[in-house]
Amino acid sequence: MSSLTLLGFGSEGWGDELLLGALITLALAICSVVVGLTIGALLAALKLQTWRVGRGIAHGITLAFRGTPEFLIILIVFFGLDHAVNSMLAALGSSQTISTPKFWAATLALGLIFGVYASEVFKGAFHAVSRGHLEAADALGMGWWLKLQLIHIPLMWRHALPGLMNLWLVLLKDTSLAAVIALDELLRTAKVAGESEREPFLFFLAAGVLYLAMTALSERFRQLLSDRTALVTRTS
Amino acid sequence: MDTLIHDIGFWITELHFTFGETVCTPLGGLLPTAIDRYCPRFIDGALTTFELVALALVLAFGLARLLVARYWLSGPWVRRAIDGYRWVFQGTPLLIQLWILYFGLAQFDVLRDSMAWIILSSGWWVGLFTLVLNSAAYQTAILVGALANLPDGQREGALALGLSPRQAYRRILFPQAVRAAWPSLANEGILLLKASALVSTITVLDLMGHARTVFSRSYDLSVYGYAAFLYIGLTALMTLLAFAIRKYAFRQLPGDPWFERR
Repeated sequence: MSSLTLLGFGSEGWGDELLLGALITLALAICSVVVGLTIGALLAALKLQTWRVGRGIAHGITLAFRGTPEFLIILIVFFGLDHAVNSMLAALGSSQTISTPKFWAATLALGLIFGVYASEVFKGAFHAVSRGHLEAADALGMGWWLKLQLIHIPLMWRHALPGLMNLWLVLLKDTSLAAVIALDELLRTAKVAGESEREPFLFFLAAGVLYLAMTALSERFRQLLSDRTALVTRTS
Repeated sequence: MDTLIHDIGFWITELHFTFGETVCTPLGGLLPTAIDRYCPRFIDGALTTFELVALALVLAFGLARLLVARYWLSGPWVRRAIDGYRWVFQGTPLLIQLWILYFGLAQFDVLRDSMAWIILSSGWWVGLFTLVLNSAAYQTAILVGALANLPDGQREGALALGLSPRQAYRRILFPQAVRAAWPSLANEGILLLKASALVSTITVLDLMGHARTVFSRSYDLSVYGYAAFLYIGLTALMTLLAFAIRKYAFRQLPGDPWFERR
């Protein structure tokens, strides 16, 4: 078969399977960002406390995650979840076993990785907000919650966005690691297709092009975003 | 030729295990039972990972150095070519790069029959090659950025002293760019160390590869925990090395702001 039919749509080609894989990759990345931003915000909140123990815990978690390969984290989360859920079931006296949903295990793992790095971005952005704004809020008599909600967090975003966009690009590429726990995302689809058609090169190439399209689009989006949120410095 | 390469690989593995035995024998019985039997394996894995990453980083720095010089001194077409290379290697996951070179290229009979097959059939060599190409793309990006951020007076001053643009680049600009970019380069080293765990998917028995083998026998999760612990140790070692190199290599450059601050 020619490579055109192999990459085409329908029952003959793998084009639709590859596109579905790309969609799963995107869905995985988007879900992980949602999880990751939540974890990142919580960790950053811990790091910004005056409470020493909390800060120590948050920094310890960051250090451990930064030193461990993403690949290992995915495996630990996947097998760990599996083990935890099934031993809980056994403790409850059930003889059933549940196979862990790969998609959500991967989401949790990638979300944890994203969150740990995002917490550092948030921390930096929190400190980058200019003091004048915060002092003005104090002068207006705002309480700490009002100040945080109306002044500090909205002003933080513009400092955090470049870092978060970088993390998004890293995350998009890290989703390919889900292929090793046999989640049928883009890379694994390409591998399966390549093995069954004996054309691994062609299908990996096609998957690579799809990854490039996704990262190039993100890059474009980042450009637009940074043009829109660039800090305007007063020159006069 | 291929038997020679094979023999060298075998000999190095043997060396790792001899080293592992000497480290592990006094620890006998002290280690948790989950990894006690496999201690020499873990030592072999850690050594393999370290060698692979150290070699890849050094070679990638050499390649990046060539590319950055071309980028800085040559015309727009060379720049475009280097940008294209960076775009491809920074825009796709490392895992797909590894698989396309290891599984993808194996389908071509021309390659299987050629001399290149000695390299292409070995996971270790393909892994090293891919890590070098991948890291060189990132290091090029870092160094080009650092060069662009140097104060323009450095270049103007060098040219005013009568240095040619090439000399100015080589003796004035590039060393300063490396120094300015050092924290980012060290960070790239740590990222590559973590990314190197992926070579275990192309049959290399690095730390991750051994951990996965041991895990598949016992299904004991703590095996991965100990592997993570060793990886964190390797990261710490890498960080220390980066500091040591910085302290040693940049000593003749006046006024390293990082050291003067403390």
